[in-house]
Amino acid sequence: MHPAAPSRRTFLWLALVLTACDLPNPAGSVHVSPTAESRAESAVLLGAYAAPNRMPVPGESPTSEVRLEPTSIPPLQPNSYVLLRISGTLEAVRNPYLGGSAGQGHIERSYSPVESTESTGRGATNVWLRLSPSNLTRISYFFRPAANGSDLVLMVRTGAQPTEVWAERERMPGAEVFYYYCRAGKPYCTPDGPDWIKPDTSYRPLVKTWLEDHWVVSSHVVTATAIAEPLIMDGPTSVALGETAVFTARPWGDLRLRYPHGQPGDVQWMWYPTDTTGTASPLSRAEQVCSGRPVCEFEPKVSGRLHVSSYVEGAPVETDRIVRVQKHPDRELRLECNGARGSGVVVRRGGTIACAVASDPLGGKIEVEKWWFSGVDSRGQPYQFPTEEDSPEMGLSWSGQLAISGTIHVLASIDGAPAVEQSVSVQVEARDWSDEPIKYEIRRGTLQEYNAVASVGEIVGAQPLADHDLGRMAAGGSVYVTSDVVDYIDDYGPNHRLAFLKAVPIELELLVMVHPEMENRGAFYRRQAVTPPAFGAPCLQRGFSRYVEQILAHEGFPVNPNAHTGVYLREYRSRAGRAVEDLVAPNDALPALGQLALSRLNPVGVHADAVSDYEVDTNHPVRFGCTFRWR
Amino acid sequence: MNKILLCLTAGLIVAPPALTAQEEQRDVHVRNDCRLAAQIIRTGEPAPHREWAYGAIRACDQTGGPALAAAWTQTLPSDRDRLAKLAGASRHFPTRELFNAVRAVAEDPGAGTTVRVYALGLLASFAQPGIYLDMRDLLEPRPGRLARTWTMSGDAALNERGELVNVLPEVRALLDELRSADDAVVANAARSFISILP
Repeated sequence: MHPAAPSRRTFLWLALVLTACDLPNPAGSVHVSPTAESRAESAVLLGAYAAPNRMPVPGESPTSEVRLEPTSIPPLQPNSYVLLRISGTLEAVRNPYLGGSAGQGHIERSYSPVESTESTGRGATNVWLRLSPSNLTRISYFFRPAANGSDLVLMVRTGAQPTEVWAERERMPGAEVFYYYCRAGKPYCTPDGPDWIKPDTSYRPLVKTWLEDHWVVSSHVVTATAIAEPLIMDGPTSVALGETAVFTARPWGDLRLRYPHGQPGDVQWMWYPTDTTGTASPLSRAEQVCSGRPVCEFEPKVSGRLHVSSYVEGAPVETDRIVRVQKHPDRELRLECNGARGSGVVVRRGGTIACAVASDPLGGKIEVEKWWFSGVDSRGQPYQFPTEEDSPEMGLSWSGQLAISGTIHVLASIDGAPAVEQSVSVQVEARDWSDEPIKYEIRRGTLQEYNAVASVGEIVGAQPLADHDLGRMAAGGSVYVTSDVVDYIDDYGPNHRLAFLKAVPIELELLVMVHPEMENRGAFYRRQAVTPPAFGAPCLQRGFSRYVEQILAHEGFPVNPNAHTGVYLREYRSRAGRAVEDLVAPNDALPALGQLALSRLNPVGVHADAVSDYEVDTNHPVRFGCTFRWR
Repeated sequence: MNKILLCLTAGLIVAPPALTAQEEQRDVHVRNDCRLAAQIIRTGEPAPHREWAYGAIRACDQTGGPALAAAWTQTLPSDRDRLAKLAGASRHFPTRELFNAVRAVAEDPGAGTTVRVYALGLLASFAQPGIYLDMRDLLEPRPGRLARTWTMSGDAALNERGELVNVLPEVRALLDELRSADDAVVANAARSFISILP
């Protein structure tokens, strides 16, 4: 009979029973968590059983099945390990009732895979493990417990289903009786009793009965213990990047690394990089990092799962450990700009900002993927540097001149962890341009020039019609955006390629015009009185030089604080700087910058002109002290 | 500061003494001058008196506006001096009649570059008084430079817009349209005037 397909009838059952278990077992099952590291070395005594130690006696039915009571144990929890220890002896003793030596029978042949009889009377047997309902596993081909009671250790791993565990002794192969045999159906015959039939030498019995030639005589104790992990991995769960870690594998307690046939078991170490879920993924890329030895040294580059497998007391066992490779456990990426974090960084326009990433606490290994700045320029256009067309900035620090407010970002990783983004909001404050110098020129202009500058045609005619035609001041502004007034940022810092103003981009031209009729002695001159009349106060021809001086002083040539030119400049200077201080645009958009400056400065000019008109004409009018004759 | 104060204080002294509103109606001498000035402006003759006529017409609160509006509908002078006198006198009369006449010139591609630029300048001054572009820069643009802007002292008295107080949108629309005019000088002038509008 093939040992892999034993008949129930031919087995002797050894039931492992749960007895004397004083631990809580509310579900009627044994539960041990095999993956909980904290309980890796825990063990739960399931029970013990002391087998009877006697021979069967006539009247019993000891042959084909000897069932030891109780006959069942609670099912084991799925995926758990049970350690069976069998102490004592499990002997097969020759069936004394065969009487072969007395000539009452004859053992013709043994079917045992081993010699079934020994001089000592002990037999060999196979012990099988049955994991109900499906598997039958031979756990020891030769079960030869020593008479001195040394242990047989069995490691059992349950399957995915609740499992009943049985230990079975394989039937000792029987002996075929030739000349004597018991009557059919008799399990055994009493020597010289009536059940024996004496055969004829030529007779071949029609019915042969299989007789056990050995009896199992047990004197042993079975204990069942649930353990969390029969194979225990020691080593760190967190490894600093760049460090070599040492891991060891050892069996639980006094168990041994052993293959099923008793040879020392090898240990295999597999590394699954990036698999930190604890669950094997089809996409996991396995690396054999160590082989054979129970000690493994290697340097994990990234976090992952370390898997170790071997055999413990003949049973295949394995265990896993998630190993996190990182950084210092508490390190964080820290971005500081000018010594501040997050927000609140204020830089005066044109000033420098210096940002740096560091680990907190120090010591972490930082890799910067990129820096970038985002903001909005004076045209309302988004600005970013570097763009995708620029080379990325990848240093640990980044600095440069700042012209517009915005946000500085950095994407970096620390100690090999995934890259994270940090940012700092930076605010650009205006420079104090409340009284910024203005480039200007004051000169005398002719009437023709005066009339030519305005887009509304002739303002003052060839003949003056009123006092205010005798002298005028015109203020012209010419915006220019050149290197004289523009700072180009060219430092590959946060505002690289932006241009901002370093001065008010205006050239003022103050034109003071005295009507030519006041100086060329023409018709208007001749129209005035030559000598003072008896009554009235006409303006006199001889007073024209003084009138011209008064006009020039009123208009402001040279400039003085009570003249049109002086007041105009004062007002313009007080507002122009603030009007354009914040103008910033890319250095390839300078015409737009000029247009912006013009649109900001035009109202400044209108304001300065209005104040000049009002203040000078009200507080410092020309007092000729006479009346001109206009026609 | 308010505009009334500015009007009262414009010029060298507190108020222009010679010419005031309604003077044409009261003063027969002024009325005669106005009639003569209007005739000279309309006909261009006699030429030696044009200078006088453009000055005298400014005092003609009754006949000045219609006379100048009529002048904008006739054959316009091409020389800048006469155009400057016409425009300079016209800005004293912010009437719808004159505005429409000037606008028609500005829109007319056949009117000539200089004429159209002066017309645009006048329309812009009606929309945004007190600030002007340099006519030299408009007619002969400086390479790479924006046209100069000017303010003129004693000019506040002309800031009252009269009938044209709400023409800003109309002028802006016209300038927007002329930004793409075939005449590059006119187009540039239109863009420049837009930049000084509020």
